[in-house]
Amino acid sequence: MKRRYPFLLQSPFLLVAALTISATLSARADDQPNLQTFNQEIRPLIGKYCVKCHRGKTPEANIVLDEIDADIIDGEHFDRWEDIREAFNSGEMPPENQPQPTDAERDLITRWLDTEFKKALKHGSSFKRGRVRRLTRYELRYALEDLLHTSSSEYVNALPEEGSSVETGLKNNSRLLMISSPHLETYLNVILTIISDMKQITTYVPESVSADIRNLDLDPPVTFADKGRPNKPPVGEVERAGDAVLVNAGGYIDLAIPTISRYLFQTSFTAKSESPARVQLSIGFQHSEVDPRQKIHELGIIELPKSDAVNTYSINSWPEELPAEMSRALDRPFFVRLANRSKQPIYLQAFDYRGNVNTDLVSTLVPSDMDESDIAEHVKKSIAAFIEKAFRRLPTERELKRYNAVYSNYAETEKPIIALLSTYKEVLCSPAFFYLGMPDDASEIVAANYRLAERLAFFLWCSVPDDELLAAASAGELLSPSVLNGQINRMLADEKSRRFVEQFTDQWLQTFLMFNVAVDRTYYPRFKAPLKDLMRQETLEAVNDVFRHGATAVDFLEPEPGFVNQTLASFYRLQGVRGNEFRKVTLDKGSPRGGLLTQGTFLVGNSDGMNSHAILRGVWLSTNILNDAPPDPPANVPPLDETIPGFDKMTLNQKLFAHRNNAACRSCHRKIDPWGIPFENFDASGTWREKVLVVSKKTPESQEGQKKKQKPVFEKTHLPIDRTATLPGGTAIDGIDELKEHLMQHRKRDFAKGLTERLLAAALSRDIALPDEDLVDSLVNRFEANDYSVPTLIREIVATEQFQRGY
Amino acid sequence: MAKKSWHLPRRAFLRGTGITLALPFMNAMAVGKEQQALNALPKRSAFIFFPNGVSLPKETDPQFEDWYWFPRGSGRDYEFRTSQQALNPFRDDISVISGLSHPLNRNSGDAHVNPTGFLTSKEMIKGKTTHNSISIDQAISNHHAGKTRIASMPLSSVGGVGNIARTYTLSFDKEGRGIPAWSNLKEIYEQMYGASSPAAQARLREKQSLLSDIHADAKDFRRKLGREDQTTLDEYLEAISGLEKKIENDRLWVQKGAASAPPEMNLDIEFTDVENYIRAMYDLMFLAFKADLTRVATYQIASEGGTAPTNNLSKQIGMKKDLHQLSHSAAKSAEGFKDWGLWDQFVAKQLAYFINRMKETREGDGSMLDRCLVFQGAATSRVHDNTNFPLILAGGKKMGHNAGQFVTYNEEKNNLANLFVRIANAMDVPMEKFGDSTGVSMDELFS
Repeated sequence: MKRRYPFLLQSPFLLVAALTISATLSARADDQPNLQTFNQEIRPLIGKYCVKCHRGKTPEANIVLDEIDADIIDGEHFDRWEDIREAFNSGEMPPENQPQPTDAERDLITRWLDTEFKKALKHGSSFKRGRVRRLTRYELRYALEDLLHTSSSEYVNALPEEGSSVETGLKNNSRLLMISSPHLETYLNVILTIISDMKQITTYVPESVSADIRNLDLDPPVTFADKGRPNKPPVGEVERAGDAVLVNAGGYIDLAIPTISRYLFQTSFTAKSESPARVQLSIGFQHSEVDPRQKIHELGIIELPKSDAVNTYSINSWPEELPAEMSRALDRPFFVRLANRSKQPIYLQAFDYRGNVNTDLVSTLVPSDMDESDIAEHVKKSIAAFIEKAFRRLPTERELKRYNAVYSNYAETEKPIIALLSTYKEVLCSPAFFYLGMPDDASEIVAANYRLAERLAFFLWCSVPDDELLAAASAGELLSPSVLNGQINRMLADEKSRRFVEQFTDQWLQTFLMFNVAVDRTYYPRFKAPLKDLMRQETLEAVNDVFRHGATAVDFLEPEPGFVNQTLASFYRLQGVRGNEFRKVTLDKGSPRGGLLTQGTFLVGNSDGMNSHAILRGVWLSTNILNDAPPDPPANVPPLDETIPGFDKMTLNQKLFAHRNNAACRSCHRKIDPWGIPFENFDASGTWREKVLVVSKKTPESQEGQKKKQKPVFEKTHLPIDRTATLPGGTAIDGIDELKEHLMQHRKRDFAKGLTERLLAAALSRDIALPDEDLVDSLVNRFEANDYSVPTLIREIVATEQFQRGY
Repeated sequence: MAKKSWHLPRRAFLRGTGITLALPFMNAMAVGKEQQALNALPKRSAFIFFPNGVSLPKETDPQFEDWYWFPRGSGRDYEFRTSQQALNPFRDDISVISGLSHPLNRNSGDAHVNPTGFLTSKEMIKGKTTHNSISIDQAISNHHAGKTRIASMPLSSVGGVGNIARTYTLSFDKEGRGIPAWSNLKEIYEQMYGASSPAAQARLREKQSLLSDIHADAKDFRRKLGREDQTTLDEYLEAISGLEKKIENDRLWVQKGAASAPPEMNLDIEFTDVENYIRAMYDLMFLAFKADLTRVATYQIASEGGTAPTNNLSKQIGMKKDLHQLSHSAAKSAEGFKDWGLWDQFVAKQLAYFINRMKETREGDGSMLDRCLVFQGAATSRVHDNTNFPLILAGGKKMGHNAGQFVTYNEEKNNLANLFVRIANAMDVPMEKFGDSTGVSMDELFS
């Protein structure tokens, strides 16, 4: 019977360790722990120098030394030993003010530790690991989209989200990807529902509507709704220009559409403009025939270049992207709107809408005009290709036979296109789709090619391979370095690698923190909720520039480039950015905005929504930039002491610092807080400030006889900024510019190492551990030598033995 | 106006629950052994959660007297304040409990992750769980596996699992994995009664056949894998077997005819229609308990934090502030605690509705409430303060609950997990330890 390991999440090594103990029967002396030396010589020394503090229920740094498993190789406490060794070797422990071991004693301990660790690295079963893991929720979403050509996010959201690795923050860690019965049932429901909905979609009849521009009534009579309120007319600021019309600045045209599309819909127009212009397309409805209020949702913005000839522009949208109230309001008078959002008139020739555009979907399944006689052959090919993509390997003869039989069975009662979808459903329920790294019966060389294709696709696209990658695998060319690098470059250029950028960024830099913070509008009236999405976008664009466009990763630290659109730039008070799209801007000298550190995502995310939080910012910087995560806070931290005089008018940092002002807390916080204090010029909404704002409630003076409800009165106090800190090494830092300067000078390598480790962890779907040290070092060296180019680093990671073998 | 879910046509109601409630113990009654029949009556427990804590103004605040959540007095001699008045008719069926919480929950930097550990008592740190573990409802449900058609009903207003820092479920399995909660009234109803419809039976058969293919495939692949990877597939195979058993269980119950003729209910309610939705949820729990479709349920009325989809519930019932603002700005405005207290009042009214439905329903030698423990609470007292959870334990008088008192515990010496142990014991689960429980007996609450 299989044993269960409740501590699995905490320590990924233990499971394998415990499982393989029984396998190490033919043990040799050099893979056995030297417990004799430990008991006779080491344990007394630990007792003498360490146990005083590290014991019992509340040990220092949460490390217990009086009860420890001395078997580093296969024992339970490998992680703990790793910490001990580091603290001991670096001289951090025992602390300076405590008795120190003699040189001979020190030597004894070091030698014993080194020998045991070497054995652990060589023979420790802790490091054997498998390559099989299930898909994450987001991988499943993308894979279903690529396989079925339909949006799937709504469906997969029914599945639980993965936990993050404590070490790396990543979610594709094979140790965390567990499965249970309710999970499996939800998974089956997802597949069954998505396929049954697709069957429905294939039956839709596409509908299209065009604006009759030539006969457009430019001056419609005003109609009145209930209570005499005028309805908004379907056109505004539009004049005739021959067969076309001119839509003037601020003008718009509404095109009534029959109903809201239940699948992909396209809004397109044909136009030109004498100077660059901007067109906004939206969809909307009027509340009812008698209620003139309108609900409008933007579909997208199109920038029209200066042009003498007309061009056709089009936007594809999915009903899932619309606000819920819109997709539910099926029977309202819907329209799509083209609006001129620039100062130039636009010459408009055509304005069209197509709904339920299932033509591409139908033709990728079974084209409706296909000859009956060709269908059988087409279906057979489709099934083989679908399995190859879904399973990331060639189907076996048995599988082909089986799934073709499944199809024939369904086809007895269903139309070919429906029966084909039923067959796909069964393929998608197979563990060969749901699990990566599954066995392949093909010859070794073919199997190796496909395995690599699978790993590449899930690394760079978070999804299944495409036809071209599969073709390279089936031709057996993928093991050739030049073909492989060509494919990596192609994949990074493909828009699908944005998924990797997005997922990796969110997990690595914990962008979700920002979405958990409610920014207080009493403090920050300029802050509006949609800014958070723009701030996240800013972070994604910065990472995209480095990961996909090959900008140097030093940009993450450097105060140079920024990524903003007009709205965000104006919130940050940056001048001269016009337009909705994000762009890379070179910031003025002296601007504090460049690099990752000062992006709103992290400034807001590491605050409490009212005030900046130097401790959170310090922890974030240490963890994600310096690659040196501070230990978890001890148990039973008391709440803030509200009885301190003047508590109401203290900044959050003052409250926190007063709170941790005892010896036990201070020793750790000395290493954390200095990294957060230099950010003090940034408030909790991410903007620059010269003073710290504190809002407190003013006690209302009670006025006799007045029964009216009193509005709360707020008192705003502005306190001076304290942004100077002494770093653990003794360097004094004053403000954000000096901090960035310091990081550029002294911590580039630490940052590069952290990024390298996380990329490697993402590529291998596991945490990075001691045996990877040499590998990581050599990758970091090459990363440095190649001017911190991430695409190059990705190619190097793919070339490693670890990536090639899959774990 | 939409028909409220609890406005059931009387006839439908009788048809719906009247027959089925008799099924499990009718035979025993016929034998004439009264005590045996009473013993055969099912015991149930429900665990209900609401977010952000409750209104707790300081004693010096003029709003303290009326809007402080905890009652006046102590022991048997207690008196509800304004916000909990709706519970007054059930005073003798209720214990109000103060001074309990989960000590391990106190250190997380982000207070809104606490619901994740509310029913497990495990430690949560800033968005990542070090390790979560089984929730108390699941520990109880596992013990009674197979006795009812539905093992347990995990319910929430949003549904699914959410992310680990903002869960939309209260239930976690034995590996600490979130169990997707049900939120769609129609789907819950389908789970309860649907297995008997031809369409649902076809779906069960389809899943069963898919599972048998998957099972064969997984075993085949497992054979070809190395040792380490085999464990991964073992877990998958275990999930398959578990699901096969569940589906088999569903089909068996259909054959036994235990799934009753479903009552008529208005199920077309979104959680934004707050009061109707919450009451419909309570109706479904009530019906499921009554027909003995399940014995354990959890219900997350709303999830934590300012970004939760349920954050606007208070606005949707006509209040000016959303839930997160209510809690955060209470101390900042003159009537902030009263505003918050009005939300507390709303929550209490809904609980009273649920309790009342069970109290009104005769069963055996008392009411249905006597054999149902209803546990309601939040995972903070005030927002961001993870001590002194505001807790109510109702019903279960014939399960050993000494109801009708206000008990205050010493926070230093008592954990909420100790109470969980006693609830599990009352549910006939022989359990000595759960989560971080310390073995304190809490005899004043249970005899």
